Amino acid sequence: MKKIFFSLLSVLAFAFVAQAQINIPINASTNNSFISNVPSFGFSDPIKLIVDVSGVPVLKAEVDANKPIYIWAFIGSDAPTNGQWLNSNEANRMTQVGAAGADKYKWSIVIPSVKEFVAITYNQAKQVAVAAGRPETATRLGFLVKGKNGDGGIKSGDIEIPFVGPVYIPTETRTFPANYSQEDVVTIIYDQNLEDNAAMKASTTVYLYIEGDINGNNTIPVSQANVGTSTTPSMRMIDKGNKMFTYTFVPNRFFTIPAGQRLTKIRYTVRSQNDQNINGGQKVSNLFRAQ
Amino acid sequence: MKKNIHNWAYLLLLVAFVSINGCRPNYPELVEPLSIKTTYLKGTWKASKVTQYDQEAIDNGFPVSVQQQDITSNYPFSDYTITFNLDAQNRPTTYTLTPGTAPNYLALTSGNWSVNHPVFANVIMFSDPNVTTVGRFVVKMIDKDRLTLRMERRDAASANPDPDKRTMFLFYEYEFTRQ
Repeated sequence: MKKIFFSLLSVLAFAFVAQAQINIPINASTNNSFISNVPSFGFSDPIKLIVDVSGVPVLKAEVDANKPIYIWAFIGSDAPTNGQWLNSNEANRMTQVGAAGADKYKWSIVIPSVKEFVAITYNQAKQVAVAAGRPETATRLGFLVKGKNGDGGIKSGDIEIPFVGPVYIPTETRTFPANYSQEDVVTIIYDQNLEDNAAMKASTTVYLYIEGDINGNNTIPVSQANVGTSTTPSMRMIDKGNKMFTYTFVPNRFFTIPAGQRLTKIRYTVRSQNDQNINGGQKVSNLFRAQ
Repeated sequence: MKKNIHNWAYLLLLVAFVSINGCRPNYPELVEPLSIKTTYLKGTWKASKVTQYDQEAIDNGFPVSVQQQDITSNYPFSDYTITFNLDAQNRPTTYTLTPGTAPNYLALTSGNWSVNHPVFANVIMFSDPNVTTVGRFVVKMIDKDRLTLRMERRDAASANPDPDKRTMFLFYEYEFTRQ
């Protein structure tokens, strides 16, 4: 019974995490508006917009006539899911919060992320901000709410709310580029300035141990010199100065990959020559398959 | 009098023309697609610099230092050459690509080449009569002695049936000089 209880608890906890989203209540009006005091959310965060349309007479009338409300989103350009102005896409149909009272005029929609919903990169969103005369980090999601057919001004004013973009956080190890295939040039970068391990931080030479996974399993070891010994110059990372070390390779040249198979993961460890000191454990990098 | 009427009519037409043009909104000029004249490409080009770009870092607006990396010296890219041949009418015919021991993402070394549009071309396409693979470079810049080509790497696992609209995860820019 106890086991079942904890299993159920785990499922509920997972469900809560999976559906974690930021609720953003908005009062729509007939005027264009920038609403800055909304809960903070990120470019890739799921959000739930809850829009009260009671302040927009034409939309209030739509609701009173039992007609649904739709969202029309934009950042510079319209979101691809919007559909046509005279015939909104059903994917953008909002959900009525309640059947009666004030909730009757509140309509919600869950957006998986600004990135996905508007089909834009953060870099493009920054360019839109600059074109509008704002600092590049003053990025905004624009939208309005409307009837299925927006003809005749069945809509609210434009609404803009701020969102924050992804922030680059330097890490001890990373790959450049972040995504690559087995045919691409990849560089493993080790930033010793961020090292926690005192012995590793003091090392003037650092080494790599690399493994590759083919087709999701069957780990194959590094095909070059045995990095478990002290004579492994080929695996010594290049000191680029300022405590930055790199190692560049092409995976399908580095590993001996059986015919017809492909690398799906690379696992790497940054360590001292004799393996006495290791940086933070093994890192895993997933590979793409280029067309 | 008739002549005077004609003169007045011409003057009115001129005023109308000037007014109409004067009322046009001041839109910025459109950037025209890069038009490749195939004769510009004729000859042999040798790579002088190769830069790798991380599309995710670019999309996220990360610092330039983590968006790109010069990989010219990591592999012998300076041995990488392409020769474009034309027929007597300056139409594209054959090409020869010599990658040396540098990675060759075109995966082709010889065959026929073409451009994607007779007037507004910005892509060079390569084919090999012996394989079904078709490779392509996007032209970023060309002048008399310099040529910059972009090799885009896209996700083959993307659901989009159009190869040009699949997610691009990185690209390489090859800067060539005429030999």
